Amino acid sequence: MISSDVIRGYNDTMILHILMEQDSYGYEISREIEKRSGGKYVMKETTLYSAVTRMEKRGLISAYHGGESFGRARTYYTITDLGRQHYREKCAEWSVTRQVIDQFTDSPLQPSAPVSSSLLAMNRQSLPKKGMITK
Amino acid sequence: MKAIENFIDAVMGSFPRTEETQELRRSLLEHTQDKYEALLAEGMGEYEALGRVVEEFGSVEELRAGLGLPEGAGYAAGDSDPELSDLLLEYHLFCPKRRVALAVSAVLLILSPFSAPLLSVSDRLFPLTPVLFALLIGLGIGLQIYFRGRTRDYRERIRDRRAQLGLPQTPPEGGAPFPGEGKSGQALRRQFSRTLNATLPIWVVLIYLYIGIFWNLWHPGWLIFFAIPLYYTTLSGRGR
Repeated sequence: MISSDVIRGYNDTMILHILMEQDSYGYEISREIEKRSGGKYVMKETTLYSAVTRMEKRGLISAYHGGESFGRARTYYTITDLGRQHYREKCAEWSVTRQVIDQFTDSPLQPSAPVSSSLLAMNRQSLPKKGMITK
Repeated sequence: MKAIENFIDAVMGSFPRTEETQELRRSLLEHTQDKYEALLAEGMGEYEALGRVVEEFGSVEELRAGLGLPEGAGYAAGDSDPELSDLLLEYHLFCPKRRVALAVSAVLLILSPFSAPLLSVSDRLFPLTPVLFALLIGLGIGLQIYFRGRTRDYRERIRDRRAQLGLPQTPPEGGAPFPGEGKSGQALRRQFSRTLNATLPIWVVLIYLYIGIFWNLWHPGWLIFFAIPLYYTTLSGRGR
């Protein structure tokens, strides 16, 4: 069960993550998302394309017509520098968000630990590594 | 594959025609076709694959929001209402079948006066001319009645459901109220209907004279005149 409220904030990020690795087209992107989420998240077509449209307008990605593959001329998407910057910001944001929520949820994986005030001030100088909480 | 195209048309039917929406339509079409083909390749049946594509498609309101369009009050695919979506999809899949059936029935009706020359090739079969004649006319008219009846039925159910949900009957931007038909298609059909309504008796007389003079089918050719009351009471009576 995935909270749609939470995932809604990160649909763009998921798409950017895939495009960071290589350019891709619509169906391939949605297939990758399903695969990497272990089948737990299937992004709807309307969600994908409204995100893509939004990101194109904001200049985070751009589209181009690629050559034929599997018998069809496809529209490929590529990430821009602005997109890469946005992606890094969202990664930092998620890291902080997750640590805050972890304080208020019981998780069998992570013991509770106090969150430092510097993190709460969203200091971006040092990005916390996964699983580590800097004091 | 036509079913997929029809589905996308249904979904985006009420969107204004701009370059942006056309681009989106192309992308969505590409994507859903890829998905449909992939499901078929996995061994899924056609209807099941189509159902899966539709199920996982998402909400039209989301698309509208992504394009910055005002809310269509869920008009386009009745997106939040499963019953209306199902009805629209069913109707959409039915339309091509109806087109084929009505075309076939037209062919049968046109062929019927030729029953005599068709059967004159054999002495044994020739006496069966009135049977073939009646059969062709019966089948032709039967197909018309059945498929037009089903269309009326679908449209009524869709209208009722929209009324129940408090939705407008026609799209805000002036598209087609029912999927699978363009505005020009509707206008053309209405024009054709009106012409036929006005001139049917003339056609019947002309055909009767033709089959009488050339094949001496005065009897049982006179049966053709029954087409006139039949047409006016069943096919045109609803005043589409």
